[in-house]
Amino acid sequence: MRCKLKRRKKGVAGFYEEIPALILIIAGVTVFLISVVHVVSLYLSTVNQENIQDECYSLSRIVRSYDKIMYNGTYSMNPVSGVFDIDKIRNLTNATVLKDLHSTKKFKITIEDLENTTAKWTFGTEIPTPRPSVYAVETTSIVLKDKHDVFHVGRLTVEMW
Amino acid sequence: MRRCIRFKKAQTALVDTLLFFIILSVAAAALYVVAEKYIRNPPSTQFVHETEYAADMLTTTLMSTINKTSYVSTSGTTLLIYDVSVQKAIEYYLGFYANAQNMPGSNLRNAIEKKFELAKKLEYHYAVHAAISGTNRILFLSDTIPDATAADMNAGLSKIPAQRTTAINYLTVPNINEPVPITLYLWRAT
Repeated sequence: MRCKLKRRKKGVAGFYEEIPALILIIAGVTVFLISVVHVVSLYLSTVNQENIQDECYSLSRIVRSYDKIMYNGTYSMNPVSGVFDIDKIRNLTNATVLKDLHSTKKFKITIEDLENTTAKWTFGTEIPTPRPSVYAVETTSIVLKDKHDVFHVGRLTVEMW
Repeated sequence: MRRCIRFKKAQTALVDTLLFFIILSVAAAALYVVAEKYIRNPPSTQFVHETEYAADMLTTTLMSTINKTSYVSTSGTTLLIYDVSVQKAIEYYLGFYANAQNMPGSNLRNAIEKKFELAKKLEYHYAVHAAISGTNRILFLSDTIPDATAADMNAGLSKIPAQRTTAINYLTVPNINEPVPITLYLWRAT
């Protein structure tokens, strides 16, 4: 009888001793798996972000050489990318920009004359609110021909989502 | 005696799992830190874009024009100039450097400096350096040293952080046969 009782106690004790160990194993594996999931999701979101950033950058380079607003167009003997004519920008329509600049994603182009704060032109699509989670922006320095032999410092911003 | 042995066994199992838990936690933390550091901001793309931005900024700023400024010629007379490109203004600055009036604080230098200030992005600091070798003619502009003295200009390059992006262009300075390099340095404001 005494012997049986002992065995039971041992059995119960043995089973309950395993529970803290099991909890620790489950906790450890869970923490590790959470970390792995975080790394994988971070990697995927970074790849997405990098892709859209690259596409945004490519579009900003295309806009810098966009024939319809360049001071010296691509048919000129001396085309210089990033040098825009303000008169050409004024005459440019949003429909022309959307037709000429193809992109798989939505974009917004802003051209600012930094020496004349009222001179600002936007083309493309308006950014929805709240701002999309996958979003890229590229800013580049440009120069805007205002009048004959007068060139202003400007800024070209391309946003993509 | 038997009880004692069993007790020891149980403790060993718990210690083993505790060790397992610690190792997994450390591995998870290491994975998290490494991912945050290397995956979130890949440095290569940033570097390419910054180099391109520096080249664009230098080219476009040199092309932009200064509405009205003045410089002091070799004869000592103050000459007004209108709608002169920044590149031409720097060439005048270096060409007529011998005149004290064209030194830091002059109209010409301030006008050039304003243009670079306007062109740079807020998240960057900049410095511009152009020097004619074998002479004391130096142009050094930087937003971190707003009113650079002659001594600052000489020591200027050593004040630029090593982690920076550069762009180079060339100037044609009056009475100097060789093209004079002008360098723009950009670095992130911390």
